[in-house]
Amino acid sequence: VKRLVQTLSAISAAVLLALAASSPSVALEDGDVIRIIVPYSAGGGFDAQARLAAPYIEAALQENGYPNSNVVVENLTGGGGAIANMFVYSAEPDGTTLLMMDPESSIWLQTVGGAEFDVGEYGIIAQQSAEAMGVFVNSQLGFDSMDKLVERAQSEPLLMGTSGRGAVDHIAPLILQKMLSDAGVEFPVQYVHMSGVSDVMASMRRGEVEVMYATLSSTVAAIKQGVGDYLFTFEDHGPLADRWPHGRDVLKLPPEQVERLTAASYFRRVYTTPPGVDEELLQTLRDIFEIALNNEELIKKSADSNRPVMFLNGADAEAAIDQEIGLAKEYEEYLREQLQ
Amino acid sequence: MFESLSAALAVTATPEGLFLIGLGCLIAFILGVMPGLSSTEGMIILLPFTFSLGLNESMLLLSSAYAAGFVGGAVTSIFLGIPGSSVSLATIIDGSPLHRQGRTSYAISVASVSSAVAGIMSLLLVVVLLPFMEPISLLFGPVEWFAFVLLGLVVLSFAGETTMLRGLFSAGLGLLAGTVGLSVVAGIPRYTMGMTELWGGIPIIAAFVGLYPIAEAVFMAASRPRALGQTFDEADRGNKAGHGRQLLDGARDTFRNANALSVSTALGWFIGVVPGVGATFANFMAYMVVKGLSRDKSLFGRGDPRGLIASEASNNATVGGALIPALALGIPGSLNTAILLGVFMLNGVEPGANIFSENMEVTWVILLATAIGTLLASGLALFIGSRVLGSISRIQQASIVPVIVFISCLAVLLARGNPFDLFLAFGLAAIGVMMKVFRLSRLSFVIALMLGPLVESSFFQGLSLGRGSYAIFVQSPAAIVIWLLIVACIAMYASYHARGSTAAHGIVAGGRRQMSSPANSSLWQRVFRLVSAEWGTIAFNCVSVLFFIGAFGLRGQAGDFPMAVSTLTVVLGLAVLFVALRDGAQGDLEPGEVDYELGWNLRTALAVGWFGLALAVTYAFGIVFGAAVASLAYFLFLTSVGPTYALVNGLSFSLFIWVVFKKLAGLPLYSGMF
Repeated sequence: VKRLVQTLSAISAAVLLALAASSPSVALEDGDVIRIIVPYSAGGGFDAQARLAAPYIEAALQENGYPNSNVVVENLTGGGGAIANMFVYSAEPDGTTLLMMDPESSIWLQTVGGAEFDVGEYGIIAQQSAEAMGVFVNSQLGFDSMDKLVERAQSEPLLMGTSGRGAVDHIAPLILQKMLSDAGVEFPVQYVHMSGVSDVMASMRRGEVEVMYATLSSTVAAIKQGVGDYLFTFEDHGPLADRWPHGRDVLKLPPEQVERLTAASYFRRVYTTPPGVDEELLQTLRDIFEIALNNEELIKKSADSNRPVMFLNGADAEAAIDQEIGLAKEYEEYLREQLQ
Repeated sequence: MFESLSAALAVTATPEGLFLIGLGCLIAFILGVMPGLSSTEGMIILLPFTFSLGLNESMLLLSSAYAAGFVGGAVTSIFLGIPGSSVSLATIIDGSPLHRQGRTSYAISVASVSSAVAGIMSLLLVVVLLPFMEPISLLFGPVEWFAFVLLGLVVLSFAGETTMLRGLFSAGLGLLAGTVGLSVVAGIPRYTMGMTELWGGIPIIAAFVGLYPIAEAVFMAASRPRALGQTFDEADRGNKAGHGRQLLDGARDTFRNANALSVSTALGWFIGVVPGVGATFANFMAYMVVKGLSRDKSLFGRGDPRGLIASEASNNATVGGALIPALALGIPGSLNTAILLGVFMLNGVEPGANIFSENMEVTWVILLATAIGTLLASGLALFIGSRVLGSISRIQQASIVPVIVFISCLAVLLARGNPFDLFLAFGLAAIGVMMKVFRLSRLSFVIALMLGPLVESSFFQGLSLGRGSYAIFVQSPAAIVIWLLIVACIAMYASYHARGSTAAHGIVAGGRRQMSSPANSSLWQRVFRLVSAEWGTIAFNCVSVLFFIGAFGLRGQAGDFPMAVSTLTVVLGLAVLFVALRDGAQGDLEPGEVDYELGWNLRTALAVGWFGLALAVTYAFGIVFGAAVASLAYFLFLTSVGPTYALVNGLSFSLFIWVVFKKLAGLPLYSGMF
């Protein structure tokens, strides 16, 4: 009996000690640790940008009423981003668990993939970056104009590498194909689904993959090494064209199609909160992130690492994402058919 | 190249750098000495520390651990006649007899010197090949990968831990486990049972720690606490005489047998290059080759230094070889290199051809740390003294169970940040226990699990690149060479078995358990005995059938691979059962494993209950609380210590986790669902 009493006392003491050490909080308070969940593995563009921004977000927090708070970046990978989305979507909306969202893939996971979350319900804090994508063509093909590329595609489908089925570099060219087809231009492509952009690039270096739908930042080194280049872009003026010095030809689509395709071809990185976050808390986070993401040092470092900040405040980022959700719904049936 | 070398030297030759190398080396060496644990467990235990270190520092820590565990394993094989890990298997054959002859220091010296020489030579070979790695890496596209990975799986099953049939069956099960998650070719969920947490597949860290350290901990917890250095004192009496002389003789004889040393090193290096094969196979193969090439074979198995050299040189040489596919192509050649690659990714560096243009410095850091780790560990084995080594091996294994389990849980939680992975790790531990009990190969399982998605995706990628033509798989010179190697391996294996040789396998196996099978027993009696003796194998076969049935419900290409693999696995499983029914033999114990006591008794029930408690409390209340309560319960109910000692130990362990991982390393510790 004595041993039993001693045992129970020991267990009780351990339970009380451990419970005392962990009391959950319900709102953002000074001293809270803010976790930024990155849906992809460490080393990718999402991870790099989140880790680049984290110290500035932490500094902005500490200078604006949360002197003891910290920011940590965690990678919660799997399911093409679905696992991180599910995790944050169901987290407490107390401002301590944020998602660095890839809206395009998340929208696809929701609409066509059937994942159980709603992108429209997230609280949008800010956009850190948005990179336009275009068709990167293997220089080994020897083409110098879009017409020749289309001609070749019509005689034999182009082998287009993607970073995975359903990824943004698969969805956007599918929409491009549909828009071109609606405009009377057939652009046959055979997709080769690989495991990330670097795999596609390696395949291109070996002369296997002929084209890929890529961001400029992921292809800068390859352009320098003569692996490939962009033969066309979607518009000849505005901020997109300024970021796109390599496009030689302008794709001839109706202006409204260009605008929609451009929206579908942006590769955005947006910070979000779980649904149901308090308006005041969301505004606080928006203010802190606006200060952090407009830090000159961060802007310079981002530009130097070829991942420039393209800041949008919460309201503007929300409007851009709503436009993409609308586009995804418009093409939902077509994409479902193509993907399944 | 020299700029990056000097940068790497600047990182390595600092007090901090040398401290990390020493720490990694010491921990892995000690774990390598402990039976059942290897450098893999050492690296997994060190893994959480790397989350707060930079890439170079992480590599210093892990690379030295990688090399040191191999040397530590030899010590146990020589002292106890039990392999410290499967890579030191053949070391027993000649090392243990030398120990019994009172020549322990001599054996340790031969093992240490050959380990050091082979380890350094294999790394030098990597250095020589560095300029050619980028073009070599571009030789490998999806088509070549498909063939290369198949080569690894073929060789692995031939050289695995159990019989070839059981090895192939285990690999089939691993390939099936690898199909769980989003289909790599069709992008739709497979076998996820509605759980989005499984969309990303079975995470490899959860698989490692479940199948190895936690599964081993189950056996340790279910065994009566005992010291394993039972034979130490008797043999050590002989060893005391001429300790220094024996060390010198061992070093001299290692260099005198330069042929055995160079052949084993070259063989180990090349085997290390092939993904999924690794040191266990090299260990076996080198022993057989060196024995086959020797004119006088009479001393093999009785304490021949050439046998010891073959075993230790070959397994250490795989370290350099395995770094080639890992660094140049981003493909893990072994469990250890898979961990290294995981840390690369966590630090934002994608292994592959670009590592040589963008991150050459880290390659040098790995090579330097591995070299220093090998030398340090060999030095430790040589000079630390046999008495100290004997004492380490006598530590009661049961007392380290909570440490192994909770450090493993930490690695799982920190790797992906998802507490669901705890259930996967413990579930895989149950599978690991069953695989060990029913003599299936966990190594084949886990490597196939790792390589399965690669086999499937590279096949379909190749097919897409060939625009639907299978001819693409035999068009490139590299692919043709690999296919020829596959054919050659199968032919060699068939020829080897046709000669009826069982070579070293029979010698080193831990013992053979016979299922009593009187000649006059009826078929039904034999079937009944088969079911009672092989129910686990039957259960695994039923799982394969479920995968086969499930594949019918998958659309398009998503079902093709699981259907093909499940069909093959069912056939292999039936073949395993047929052989067991025919021979009435349960086969060998898994080489490299300690034969723990595991029976259905109160202690086993308590141990299983304890693992359930550890999982539930950790999931519910977090890692710190889980470690405190579960350790306390462990000491109270599974050891003979008193409540005060238990309380102090339990709380101090949880305090250790909180202070070291949370406060010092600044890692986000899982705080539970409630």
